[in-house]
Amino acid sequence: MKDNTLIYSDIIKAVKTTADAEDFLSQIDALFAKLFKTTPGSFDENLKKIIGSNFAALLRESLEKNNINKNDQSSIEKFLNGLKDYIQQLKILKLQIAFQPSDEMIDDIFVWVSENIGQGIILDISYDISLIGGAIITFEGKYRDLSLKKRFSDIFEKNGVLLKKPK
Amino acid sequence: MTIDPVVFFDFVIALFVLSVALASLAISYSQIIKKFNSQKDELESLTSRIYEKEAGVLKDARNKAESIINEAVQKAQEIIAGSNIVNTQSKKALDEAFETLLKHQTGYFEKASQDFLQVYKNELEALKQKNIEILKNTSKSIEEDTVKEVQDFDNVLEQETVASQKIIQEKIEKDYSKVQKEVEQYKNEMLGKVDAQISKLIQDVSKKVIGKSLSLQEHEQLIIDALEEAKKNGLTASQT
Repeated sequence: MKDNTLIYSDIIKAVKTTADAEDFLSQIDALFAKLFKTTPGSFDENLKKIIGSNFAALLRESLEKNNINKNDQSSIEKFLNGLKDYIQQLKILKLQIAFQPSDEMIDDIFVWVSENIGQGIILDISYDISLIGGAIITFEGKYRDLSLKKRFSDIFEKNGVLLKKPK
Repeated sequence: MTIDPVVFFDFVIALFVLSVALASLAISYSQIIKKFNSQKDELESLTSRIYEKEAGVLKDARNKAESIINEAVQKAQEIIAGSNIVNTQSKKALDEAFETLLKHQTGYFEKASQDFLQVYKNELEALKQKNIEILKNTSKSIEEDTVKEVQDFDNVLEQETVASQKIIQEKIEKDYSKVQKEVEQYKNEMLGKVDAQISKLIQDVSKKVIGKSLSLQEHEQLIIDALEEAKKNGLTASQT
């Protein structure tokens, strides 16, 4: 895994959420289907026709960094298969939050998770306004409700006696 | 076919005998009829004679009776006529004697009536007094009995009333206590419901107010705080 981390580190940096992972996997599948079946041309030109520019740039950079011949089909296939396996093995940290986060916020959360919990973790973010704030975190079978909704419920349950009339 | 003469002769003889028998029978029958008719006539004449005789006897009897009656009536008239004369004289004497007697008897009866009346009055008075006395005694007895009955009734009524009152009071107290408990229970239930509703209302309002007042940065910070708390509580990636 360590080797793969180094090989795919540049690409994996762009995979922060499950949506990103699905997107990359579908683009890898598209590459498998079309890259070596197009009319002859440069690898870079064909790459642009098949996948998005962002992923194309990352792929190109990673291939160069790892000294993989762009015209060597088997090497590229091996690289792409490895990347696909690596993406599929990424751990998922599920976050239920009370608002629609911006890309920047997703980045911040992803960085925090990578630095504090571990590498190779992507975020599955869902939106539930009733949570008010905070988050419900589910990771590797562990569940933590740290939303404001839960906190309020606990407070009101604990301090409900204060609302009753004195006898 | 020829007939035997003997047989024929026998037949003729038999026939002759039969004829003779029949003739004699017829003759005797006619004689009997005659005799019957004559006897019948005789009977009828005898009967008529008897009727005549009877009528004659009845007539004689009737005549005799009439004559006897006439004689008797005549005699009675004579007697009556004779007695009328006697009656007038006797009647006069009788009237006089009767008048005397009447006067005497009237005086006697008057006196007797007065005596009787007095006695009756005395008796009546005595009876009246006696009845009054009896009535008084009876009234007194009735009064005493009635008073006693009323007193007994009064006592019983008082006892029953007090007992009933006690029972009713106990029942009322018991029912009141039960109703009080029910009211208290209902009150607590309602208060509980109201409290729950108030609590929910406050929660909902708080959530809405706080949710809307948080900025994006505050939201982000809350998420990071949640992740940190989760990390403190053991949220780590397993080594693979």
